[in-house]
Amino acid sequence: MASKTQTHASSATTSVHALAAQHGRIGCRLIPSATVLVIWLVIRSLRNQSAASLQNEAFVTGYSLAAICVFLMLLGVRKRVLSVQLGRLAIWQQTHHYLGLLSVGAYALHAKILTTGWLESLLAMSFWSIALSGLIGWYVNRRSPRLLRAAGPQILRQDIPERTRLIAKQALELALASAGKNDTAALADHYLVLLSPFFATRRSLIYRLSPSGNTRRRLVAGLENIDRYLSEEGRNQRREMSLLVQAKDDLDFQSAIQNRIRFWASAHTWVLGGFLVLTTAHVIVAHRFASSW
Amino acid sequence: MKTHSSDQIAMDRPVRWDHPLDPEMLTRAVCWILDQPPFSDMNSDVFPSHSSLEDILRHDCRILRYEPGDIIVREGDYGGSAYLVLRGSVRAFLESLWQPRGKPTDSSHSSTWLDWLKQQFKQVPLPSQATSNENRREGSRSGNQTASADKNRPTPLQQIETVDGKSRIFLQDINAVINGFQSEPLGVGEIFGEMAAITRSQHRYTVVANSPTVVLEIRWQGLRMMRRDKTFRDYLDARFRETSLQTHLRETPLLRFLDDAAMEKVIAQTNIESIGEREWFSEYRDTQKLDVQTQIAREPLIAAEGHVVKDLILIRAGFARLSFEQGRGHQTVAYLGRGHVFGLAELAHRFRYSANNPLPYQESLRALGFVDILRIPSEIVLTHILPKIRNAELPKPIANPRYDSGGLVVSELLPSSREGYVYPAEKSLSNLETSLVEFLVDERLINGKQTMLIDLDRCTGCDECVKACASTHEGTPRFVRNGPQFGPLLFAHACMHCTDPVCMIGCPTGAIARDQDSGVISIDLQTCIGCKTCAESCPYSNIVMIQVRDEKGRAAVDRKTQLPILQASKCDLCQELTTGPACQNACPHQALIRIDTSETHALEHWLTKRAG
Amino acid sequence: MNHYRLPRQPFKCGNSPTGAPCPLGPIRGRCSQSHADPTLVCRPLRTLDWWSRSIQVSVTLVALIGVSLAWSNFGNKQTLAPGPLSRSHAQLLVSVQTGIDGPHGIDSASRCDSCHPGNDTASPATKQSDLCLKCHVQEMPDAVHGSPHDLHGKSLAELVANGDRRETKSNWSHWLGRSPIAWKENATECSQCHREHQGSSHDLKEMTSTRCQACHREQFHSFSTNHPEFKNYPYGRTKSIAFDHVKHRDLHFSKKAANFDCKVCHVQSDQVGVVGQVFRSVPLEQACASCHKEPIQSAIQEGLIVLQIPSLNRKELMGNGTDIGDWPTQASQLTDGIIPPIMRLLIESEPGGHALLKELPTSGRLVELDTRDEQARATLVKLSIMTKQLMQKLANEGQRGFRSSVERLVSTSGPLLANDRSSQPNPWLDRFANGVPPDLFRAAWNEWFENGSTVPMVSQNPSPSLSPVRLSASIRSVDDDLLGKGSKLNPGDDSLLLNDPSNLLDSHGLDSQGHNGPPFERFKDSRAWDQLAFGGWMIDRQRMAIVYVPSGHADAWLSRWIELEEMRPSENSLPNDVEQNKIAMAKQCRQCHSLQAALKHDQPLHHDNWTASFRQANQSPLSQVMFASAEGSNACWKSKSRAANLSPITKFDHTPHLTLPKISDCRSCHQLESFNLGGSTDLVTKGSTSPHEPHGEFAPMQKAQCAGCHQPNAAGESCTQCHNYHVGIKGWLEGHK
Repeated sequence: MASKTQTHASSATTSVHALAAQHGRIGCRLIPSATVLVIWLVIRSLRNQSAASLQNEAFVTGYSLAAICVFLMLLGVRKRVLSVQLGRLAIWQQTHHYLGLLSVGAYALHAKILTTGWLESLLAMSFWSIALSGLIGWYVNRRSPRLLRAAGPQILRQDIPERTRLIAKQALELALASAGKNDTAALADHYLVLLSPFFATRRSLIYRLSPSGNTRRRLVAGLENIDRYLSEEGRNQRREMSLLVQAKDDLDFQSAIQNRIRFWASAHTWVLGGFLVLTTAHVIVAHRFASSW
Repeated sequence: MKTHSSDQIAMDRPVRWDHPLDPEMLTRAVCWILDQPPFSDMNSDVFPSHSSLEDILRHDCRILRYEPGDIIVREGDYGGSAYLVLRGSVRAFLESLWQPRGKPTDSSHSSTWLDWLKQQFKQVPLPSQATSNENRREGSRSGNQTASADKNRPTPLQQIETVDGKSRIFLQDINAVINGFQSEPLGVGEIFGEMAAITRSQHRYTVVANSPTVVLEIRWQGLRMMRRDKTFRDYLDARFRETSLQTHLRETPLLRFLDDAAMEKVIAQTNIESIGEREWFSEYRDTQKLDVQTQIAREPLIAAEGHVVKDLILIRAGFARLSFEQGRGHQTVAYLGRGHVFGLAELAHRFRYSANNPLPYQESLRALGFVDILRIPSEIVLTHILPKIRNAELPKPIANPRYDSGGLVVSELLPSSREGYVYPAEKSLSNLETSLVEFLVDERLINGKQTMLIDLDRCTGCDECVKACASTHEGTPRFVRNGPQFGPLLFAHACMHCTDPVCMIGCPTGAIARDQDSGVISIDLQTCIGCKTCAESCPYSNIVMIQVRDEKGRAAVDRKTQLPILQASKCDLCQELTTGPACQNACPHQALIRIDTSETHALEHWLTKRAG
Repeated sequence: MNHYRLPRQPFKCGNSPTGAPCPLGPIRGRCSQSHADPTLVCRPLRTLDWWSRSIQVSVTLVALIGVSLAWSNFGNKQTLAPGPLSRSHAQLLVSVQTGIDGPHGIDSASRCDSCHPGNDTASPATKQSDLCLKCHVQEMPDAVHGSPHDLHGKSLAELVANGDRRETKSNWSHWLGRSPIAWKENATECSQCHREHQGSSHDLKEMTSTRCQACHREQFHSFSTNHPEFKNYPYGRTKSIAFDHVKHRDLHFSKKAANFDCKVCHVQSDQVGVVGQVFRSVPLEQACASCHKEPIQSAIQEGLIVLQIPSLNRKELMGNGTDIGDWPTQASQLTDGIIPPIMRLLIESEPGGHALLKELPTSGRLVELDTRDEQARATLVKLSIMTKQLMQKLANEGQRGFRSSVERLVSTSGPLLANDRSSQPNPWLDRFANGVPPDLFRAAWNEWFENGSTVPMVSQNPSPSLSPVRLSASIRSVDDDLLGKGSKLNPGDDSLLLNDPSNLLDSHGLDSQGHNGPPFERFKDSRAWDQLAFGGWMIDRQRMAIVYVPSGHADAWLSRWIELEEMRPSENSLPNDVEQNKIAMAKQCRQCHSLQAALKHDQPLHHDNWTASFRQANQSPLSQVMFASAEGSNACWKSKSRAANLSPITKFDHTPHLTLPKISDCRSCHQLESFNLGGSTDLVTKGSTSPHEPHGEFAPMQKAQCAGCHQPNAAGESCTQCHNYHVGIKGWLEGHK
């Protein structure tokens, strides 16, 4: 019977991780949302104040919007700066999300959805493209872990092709094995007709955009249908084949989801530079031609 | 490959002893040492030509000089070398010299989010802090003891001053300390620190120079070579036994109320035992392929369930599986590590309730790889130890035993419902679901102190951790975001900085070493010769051989063989960063943490938090 | 063995799609492996990282180039315009580039400069508002001050004082430093409220209430709750036309069983006024003619006696040894008759006329003069001479004579238009004199004093001053030099050559008819109105008078007389207020019109030219009238338009309201206070009490009536819906009357 006398054994090591994890939950929700709320209120009242004192409130809202955008971009900096203690990235990420929402609100205070004038329109468009891709990316990020978990054990994106090839190889071998005997040949035929393209080629664009289990179900059902032509041995091979189909489909699913995540993550950064340039121009022009503010 | 010559740079393959421990080691000194015992009576034939005793002394040893009061070995530091006294004398303090300082970090559990905010901007704790906490805790244990013994005892002050470039740490007023603390003197020809060096563990005692002393430091690679000499090996083992026995018993809190006489008896009666291979990983490789039950069956049995309790078993090093027969297989209840005790509950039960019909062992104890245990005979326990233990510390009586004197109890209840034999200190052990415990044990993750754990329910595979790691390590990450997976928990292929770093065993150059006080195991690329030993001996394949490249990314190849020059690389826990492991900081979804899996507490805590 | 997956790699091994990538992957885009057989040497593929990075770079570059192009094209700043101008401004600044070479066609470079100061052209000192006011100054002359409501001087000080009091109350409005009220000294900018570049359809005047509430914060959080109650809105103005709605509805219309419909009299669908198609009054023909035309006609058909030969009992005078020279026989039987009011005025204008009038009896009846009395006889003689003088004058000097005499009348009554003397042309006088026919007077003279109609006079010692010969001679002499210099004949005078309108007609008749025309029938001496149905001059042989028959309602000449009669102060001790001495017809007019009232309330304030009319304020009533009716629009006879009644701070438009079926009936807002029809007496009293005073016959409108619809989520309650900002001093005073 075991007794453990070092009750506190090394819990100190992890207590801080645990602590962080514990408060991380609260912190990631509560604190950023609170901050964002406060900022929002401040901007609102600033705007009202400037409007009330007959100033051009577009400057107040514009500058707060700019400030928010700058902070949003700081996330990218934070990701690259690892040697300085700047707080957990998770907090930054959450704040980034909330501030992103806030920036849309600030934009609404600042301008119409699509303004007039080509400079402003371009600026607005770039803003929206960034904001939209960000929102989509956010959604995708929240949703994908469950999807990935559904598709079997996790696999690295870089390894997927190799795995696929291995599975295809196994399938081929299985088919060859079955081709030999008469009472299992049906599997080989089936493989030749339906499965070999499935194993060999990558999936259609539609599948890669919105992966679904339809093809897999169809194929598996088709496989089960040929059971009647198979001997017991053949059936076993058929079951293996179904498993392989399943595995291949899981891999495709994994790659589809992972690529989706990557795509939106990078799409979020595409127009960033252009946005900065346009913003600068916009600010200069605004100051140059504004008669009063 | 002609076409790619521009991508490569030729260089000499680094070899062992390129970087001796002390470059200024003089031949004269070596000769002089060779005349000293025990080297004088070593048989030089047993050493192969490519590494003669002389070479070993030249490359793996150095001569150190100390003033009275200088600290040579400090308790709690991870030791990489053994020390041999050549001149003068030293004193080994078997009990901790230092009271616990400051309150441990984990007492701030019930903290407001404001503290948490501060926490956010404090640095993520380094393993150094962690281990030093551990030291404090151990210190505290013996500290309580000393405190209880007598109050007015001087706290030894250690000071640091730099003498001709080398900084020396020394105790003020050495004599007072010597009088105040129990210590044993070591004279010329005696060796110390070898235990930590061989078992890749922490020093259990502090050694202070007693008089002007000359000491020979032998790094453990050298020590391993020297073990080829039989007499020396025997001497080592003998010494190893007694010291480790003594120190461990003295540090066991169960025994802290024993007076010296009783302690002597216990020490006399207790015998130490090493089970399993020190190089257990190779065997583990083979057994891993087998199914779990056979694995368990293969594990050397330390104590079998249902057998009479012959002795109390203290685990000194390594890990042991705690399991009982469930149906046709064995169900793992927990894994016991250093400092755990086996069989106490049964003995206590017998001592307090049923002296006449004692209960046998309720579970069996199996060695996982290499285990060091001490066996204290039951009689000694019943007569000398148990009477001294307070009831509060004694385990609860076993309400419904699995085995009694008659053998297996028929009315088998689920272990979960039998909290009778689980008592508070241990409750946390059984909090983890059995399957997870078994998984940890089977994968030997129990060895990890800084295991990288990824929560797949949050991880989106964004590779931020990998990028962060790469950018901290010249563009090459030091781990693979993949590995053994238990449900949503992924234990990635990153160095766990094990309690028992078997990777260090084979290293011929000592390139792979454990940091003295942080306990982080890192590879010194200067000394690494790319022999792949560590990579192959790591049971978790967390060490990767990479091609040496210059900053332009050109691969280095051997000038003679034109084969690429490899080097071992693994997670170094971002030692150069003050902010702790970059991977953990860089995770945007709080999916990745470095966690101590050698103890279940952290895991439990994290899991409960994760559950929300 | 395990191997690391390098992140952020621009290239991946070319074999990775086939599933056999080299673990190390390519380096700098080239296969790093030293493969034995060259077929394994791959052409590395680009990764998503590479693509996204290159997209980032290219997008940034494109943006940079685009912006810098726009910048280099800075002369043509339109490329940087945040949006198209509002339509009106855009039309004003037609760009040459747009191809339209309008009159305003300006090149695109200077286009922006015309509104944006501080550019290469304008001096940096000029503010944008100055540029705005280049065009807008005549609408808002006071806007140049750039002060709240365009105020300056005392009124601004007072406003700001109020403002400051509020300011202290408003909790943290100083937060941004510049509180709007603190802008007494530094001017507001147009652009603070009027935002350009919002697209061509954008209304520059539309305004959120926050703009107003920058200052009016405390009072006006919402219209329904915070806006102060109306004070007798929109009435409380004196009426220049006395129209009693209650009386008309309950007596006249009900008597006639006619439908009392507001729209008939108040809506003019063919034009739009300040408050829409609703007008305070419409032309007589539309509204009142049906009832009021006929009485007016009957009133004026008698004609207006301009000059009448007083009938004197010549024998009696002669008997008493007084001779009045030639005198028409019809007027020689007995001393009787009244001096008609206009004649009195003319006499008064003559030298000595004033004295003469004083001698006459206050009643004006000659009968009251006792011929046996020496004094009285002298008076009569003077009168006769005066009469002749008048006739002669009007005959000889024609309209000039008339004008001068009227002018003399006017000038006796206080100063004319400030800094205006008779030397200056006075449109009013000119119009007055217009149409006075000298030949008629001459004809009358000939008829009554020259040809046989006069009793031949036998006189021993004719008073030299009264010898008819001299008189005739004087006329003849006039004739001579008239003939001599025919060039400077008055248009009326050429009829001098034909002696008699009858002859004229006759000769015409002969010319037109030839010899074998029908037999010429004798004129029958008919009543005036038979022939002068549409107004004009005539000789009335019954009454021995020159008569002017007005042309009906709103006859110019008659109204001039009435203006004169009413407006000239009766400082002189003449009994002008006696009933007989007043112009009888004026009674008809006065039923509805009141010059006094018209003058009492303000100048017609049309927002465009109120300054002009404002300069005419504080003048003598007469000169005001003159000014008002100078342009032929009898301004002070008409009722003032709504514009005059709305203070410039407030504005209102009926049109949108009338479209709503709920309130399309005027009475839903303008409620007549109805009376119990039993007591028609108090009706009359009610109606007749001071018809020109602010009439309480309409219940003053309540704020609630508007607040019913004007809610934030309904008809809206923005300040500028009902209020103007740019009012200036005048408007400010108006609003705070």
